[in-house]
Amino acid sequence: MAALRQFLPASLMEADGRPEPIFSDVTAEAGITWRQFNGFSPDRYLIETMGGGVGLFDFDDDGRLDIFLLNGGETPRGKSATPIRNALYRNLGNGRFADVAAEAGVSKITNYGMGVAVADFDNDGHEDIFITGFPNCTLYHNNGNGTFTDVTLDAGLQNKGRWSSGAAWFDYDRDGFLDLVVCNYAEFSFEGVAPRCEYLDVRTYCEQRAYKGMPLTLYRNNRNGTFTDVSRTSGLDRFAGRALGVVATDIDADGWQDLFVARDASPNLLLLNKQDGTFLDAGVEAEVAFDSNGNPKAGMGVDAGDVNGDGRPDIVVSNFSFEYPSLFLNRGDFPFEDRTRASQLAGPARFDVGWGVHFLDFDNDGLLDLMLVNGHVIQVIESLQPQVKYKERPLLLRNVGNARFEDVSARAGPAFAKGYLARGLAIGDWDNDGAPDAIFTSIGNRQCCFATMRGRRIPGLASVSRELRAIVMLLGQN
Amino acid sequence: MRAAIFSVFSALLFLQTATAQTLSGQDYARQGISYAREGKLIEAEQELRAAVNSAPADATFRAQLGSILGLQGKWKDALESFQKAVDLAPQNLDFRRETAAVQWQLGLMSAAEKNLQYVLTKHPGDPGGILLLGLVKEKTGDYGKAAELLDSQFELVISQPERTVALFHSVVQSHQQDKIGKIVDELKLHANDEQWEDAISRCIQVAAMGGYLETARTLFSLLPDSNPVQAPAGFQLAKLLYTRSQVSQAKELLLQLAEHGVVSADLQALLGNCFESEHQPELALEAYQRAIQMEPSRIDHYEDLISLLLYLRRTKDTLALVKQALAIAPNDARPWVWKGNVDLHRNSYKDAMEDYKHAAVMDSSNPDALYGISAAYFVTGQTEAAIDECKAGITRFPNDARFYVAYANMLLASPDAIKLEAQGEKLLQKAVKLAPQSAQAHYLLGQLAMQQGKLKEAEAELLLSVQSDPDRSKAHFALAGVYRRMRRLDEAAKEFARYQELKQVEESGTASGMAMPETP
Repeated sequence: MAALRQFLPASLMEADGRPEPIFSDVTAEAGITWRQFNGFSPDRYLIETMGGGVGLFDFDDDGRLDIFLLNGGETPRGKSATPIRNALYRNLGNGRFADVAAEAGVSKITNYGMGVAVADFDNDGHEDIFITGFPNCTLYHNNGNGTFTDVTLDAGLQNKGRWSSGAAWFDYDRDGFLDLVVCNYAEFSFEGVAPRCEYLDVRTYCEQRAYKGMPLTLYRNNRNGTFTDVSRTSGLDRFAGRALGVVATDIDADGWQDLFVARDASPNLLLLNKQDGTFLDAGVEAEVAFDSNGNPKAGMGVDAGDVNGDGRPDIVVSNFSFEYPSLFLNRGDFPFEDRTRASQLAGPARFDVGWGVHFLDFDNDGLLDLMLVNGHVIQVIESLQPQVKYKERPLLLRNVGNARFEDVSARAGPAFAKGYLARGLAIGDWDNDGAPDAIFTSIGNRQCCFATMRGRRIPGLASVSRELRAIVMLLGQN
Repeated sequence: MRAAIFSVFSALLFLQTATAQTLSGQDYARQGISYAREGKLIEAEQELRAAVNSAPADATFRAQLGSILGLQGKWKDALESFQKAVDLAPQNLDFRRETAAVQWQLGLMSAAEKNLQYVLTKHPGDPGGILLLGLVKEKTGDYGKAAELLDSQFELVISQPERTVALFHSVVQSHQQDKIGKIVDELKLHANDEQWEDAISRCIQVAAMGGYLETARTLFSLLPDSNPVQAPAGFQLAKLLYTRSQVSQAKELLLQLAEHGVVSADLQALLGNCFESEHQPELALEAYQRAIQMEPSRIDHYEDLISLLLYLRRTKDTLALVKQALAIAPNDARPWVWKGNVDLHRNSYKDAMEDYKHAAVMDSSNPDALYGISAAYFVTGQTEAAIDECKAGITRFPNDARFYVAYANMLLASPDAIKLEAQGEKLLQKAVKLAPQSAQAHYLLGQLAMQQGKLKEAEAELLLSVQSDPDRSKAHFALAGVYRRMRRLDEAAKEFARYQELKQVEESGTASGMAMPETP
């Protein structure tokens, strides 16, 4: 224990010298009881393995972060015994939350839900909710009085017929209004013959390549509550592939927002904003599109942040088991440096199927740490690969400098000791104590299907939630 | 073979008649030789036996009897007769030479050489002795000496198809390329000579097996279409074309042979290889199936079909075929290894492990079984156990480069790869020493060099990898990366386009369950 202690900041030690858990699971005491329903069925629709969008945002402008939880949906042979709904947990300010989704007008299931992207698209000072999923998207306008209005049709954001996944609000044309990029995963339908795959004569989910990838959609904000689909003129409709996560950030420091798109068994995209309404994919040149063998990884979640303090945004992408999450260091030139192994990120995550991934500075040392939430998609995986688990533990990795990480999951708290089918992850300071908190979802209506954790109070810390919320990512990260 | 010796014997018969010493024996001998001239060899043998009986100490009669026996292919009896002649007249160089000829025929090369050395010591320029010694040297694998001796008697050699084949074989085997041309020129003179077709066919096979593609092609053009002797020669030529990546020409030749009625499982198997290389899997499957139908008991024909079916992810079909192979050869380790491969592909890892272990017990000299065990551990994430198996493989099969490559691959794929690079590089260097053509070893060395910023070195290694296996998408991908870093953007674009093309083909199989790690 003495050896452990010398590596821990004094603020993380209990009075008796034992390390205090970094996060506490406060799901129950916060009153969060909602569960995600994924329509699990004998047909094994791949969509059942995804979803779980979650957003942390202050919908009622009371200075406290609230929680929006997006449900999945039913499938033809995967019906729920009880009505399913989304949840909007209002932060009561006393450590407890109350579900006000019905009153707010956002409880209704409008699609098979995937992800959530929250932003004030009309600059009225109130944050709105955009929901992705199949076979359409939904835009809820925040009325500023605790209620929302579904303005999808008027806004022109239906994205009809598509299976959309991640989405990001960003101002690509620098007109002061947020535009929207939507990741579309693959051609899909609940009707007709679904691709059929088996393991050892047992029906299972087909691998991603059985589903034909779709192009991205880019909507330009018309500044009047409506949007125009500019996928063609921007060139984004050329990039067909199974896109899941997207993050907007200024990669090349030219003052214009670029995009990194994590794609599943399709090459990742690094879309540089050419400042003329079009984008150039530099994924191959940056060596972020494929692994070193030319295989696209199963990119799911993505985040951007400066992990080495050089002022440039670096990229982290969560991937499938044995692929390792990718950490790409932006050196200001191409190629990026694949820092996955040197960062010691590969070892702790080697067996995990990663989904939500987020940079955060949980120990307030000025270095961005990393949280990943995981969960496999093959139920029988443990009999196939003994070291891989179906329900997987989240990971908390502490940045020890020079873009190297230390796995501190073992002392991160009880929630990090349990396995989940985790998908969405959002970070924010909901109790305004200056420490980042985390919420992640778990799919499939399972016990302990999602957990909320509270960061330890670290005096003197400023809230980081606003900064973090500027980055909009996969499956409900806000 | 009989033709090569015939003229020597004939000369002996005619020469010896004048020296017969016993009156009654001489009569028998004369009569026997007369029969021999008429081609009545049985009668000739009877007469000469009578001559030997009447004069047992007459070496000439014994030698003549030996010649007649030799002409009938009764080599053992002939040798006995010649040896007695030599015993009776040890200094007779003709007897010695003929004895050596029979010994050559019987494969008694050491004894033949002894007799010929005696002849050549006594008479160094003896053309027959030199010729025969050349033939002996060819048989004993001393091709350089054989080529020298036979070439010194070129006119004598090229007068006979068998001798010409021996000279050609010696020249090819001893890589005396400069001598090939004149032999080919002589063979060209016999383009329409039926008696030479077999020799030409064998020379084609020799040239093809020796890697002399143009020579083999030239000689093949001398054979008339649809001649049965085309089959083995054409097959060898096609095989060489295939290994030289001239797949389309190999395929055309094989199809032509098949059209002319050549029925051969080997031909169908090679045809399958050609179709597979041309990315025509369905045609390849049909060819492999025909090979099996032609020789269902030959277990090696199953391997190509099994691996193609696996590549196409038709695991049920593969499993059925493996079971068929197991029924044919239940005590052969190979089908068990194949079953392991199938089980590995269908993610039935426990079964795969059992199959490989069963194969390893059945045949401990089979490296594939051990390699399979290692692969099964690796894909189930048990890297340490997989590495242990690789280490065991290196100990037991130190010349099998695959274990070094797999071991290195595992180290370099591990989360701690950075610390293990030097060890991995050492293993790969050893692998390329053992198997200079190992595409994977060169590929991994190229990757390592690239990671270390040694771009020239990376380029060289990756080019070697591509040379060994031009259809490896990942090598083209890595090469594109190297060229991009070198700012050789046109080459980078070209390699990347090639990568995309190949990758599309690689991924054209049907979708299966979720991705698993690549086997080592």
